[in-house]
Amino acid sequence: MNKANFSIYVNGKEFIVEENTTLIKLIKDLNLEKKSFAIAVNSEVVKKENYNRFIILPDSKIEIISAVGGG
Amino acid sequence: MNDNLIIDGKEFRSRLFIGTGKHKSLKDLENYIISSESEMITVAIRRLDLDDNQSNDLLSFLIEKKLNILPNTAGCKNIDEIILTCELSRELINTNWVKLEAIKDPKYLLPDPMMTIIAAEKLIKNGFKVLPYINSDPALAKNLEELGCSTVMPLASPIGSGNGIKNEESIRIIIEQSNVPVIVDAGLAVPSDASKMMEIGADAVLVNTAIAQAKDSKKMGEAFKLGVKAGRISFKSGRIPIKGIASPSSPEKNLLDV
Repeated sequence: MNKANFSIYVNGKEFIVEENTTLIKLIKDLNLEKKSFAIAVNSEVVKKENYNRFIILPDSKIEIISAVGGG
Repeated sequence: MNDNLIIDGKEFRSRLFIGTGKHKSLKDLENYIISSESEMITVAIRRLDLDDNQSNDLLSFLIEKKLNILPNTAGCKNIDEIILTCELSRELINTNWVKLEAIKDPKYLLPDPMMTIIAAEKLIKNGFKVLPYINSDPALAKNLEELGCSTVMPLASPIGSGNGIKNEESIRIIIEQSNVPVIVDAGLAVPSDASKMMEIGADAVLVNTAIAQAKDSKKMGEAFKLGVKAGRISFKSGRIPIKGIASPSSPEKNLLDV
């Protein structure tokens, strides 16, 4: 059976993912594994230990943030 | 007895906080952090650039140096953004300390007092240690202290303006009345500005642009370290009273009489 594809929004940009995509898969697809970051999905922080079981739903708004220079 | 700064039970040997904004390179940042001997370093929180493949990772660098990291909420336009930024920074940096910046004014970057109070109250309820950046308003400082903020951080003049100290009298009143550490933030341009704030009893200062953008940031980091130390020791030593007339330093007895 074919998996359905749908849109999600990562840092304001639209991405198409398959259904049942987890956060860990998204992180790998975006080549972020070696970076320091934190994630919120629809304004809720997802803890690192939950990335492998967090399944992304259609139209999710995902924020991936890190630290930059600031005062 | 040592003269360490204590904020919410945490001790700091250095009374100089350093910002990482506008640093010229990571090497330059490393140099001025070391020369300043600062133990508390601020960062901003931003969306990760998904197209940037460079491993120029500020956070890993600061963690490797075993520095205390203070995330700020600069750039947040409303309370929801502030709260989410703090929750994300807690997950990212594993700290519940935040420098609260609630700013609507793009020209002077002056903090909004209403937004600051509302955000501080929510953050404290959510378990954050809140260090609010404020205009030098003694009544506001007192309100934030009573809400449970860990410090107050009045500005000397607008962020990055290099305008030095424009609010000395109101900062003096904040210091006099505060039961939490007062960290003077923003506008300090040269070490004598930092020294002056420490001399009137500020507990610490936060410096960013004046060091990061100096021609020689490493030397300027060292100069601010010395300025802060001199001001602090001066404050603890007790200055002489101000008199309207002169008082000779040399003896007035046994003078020549020709």
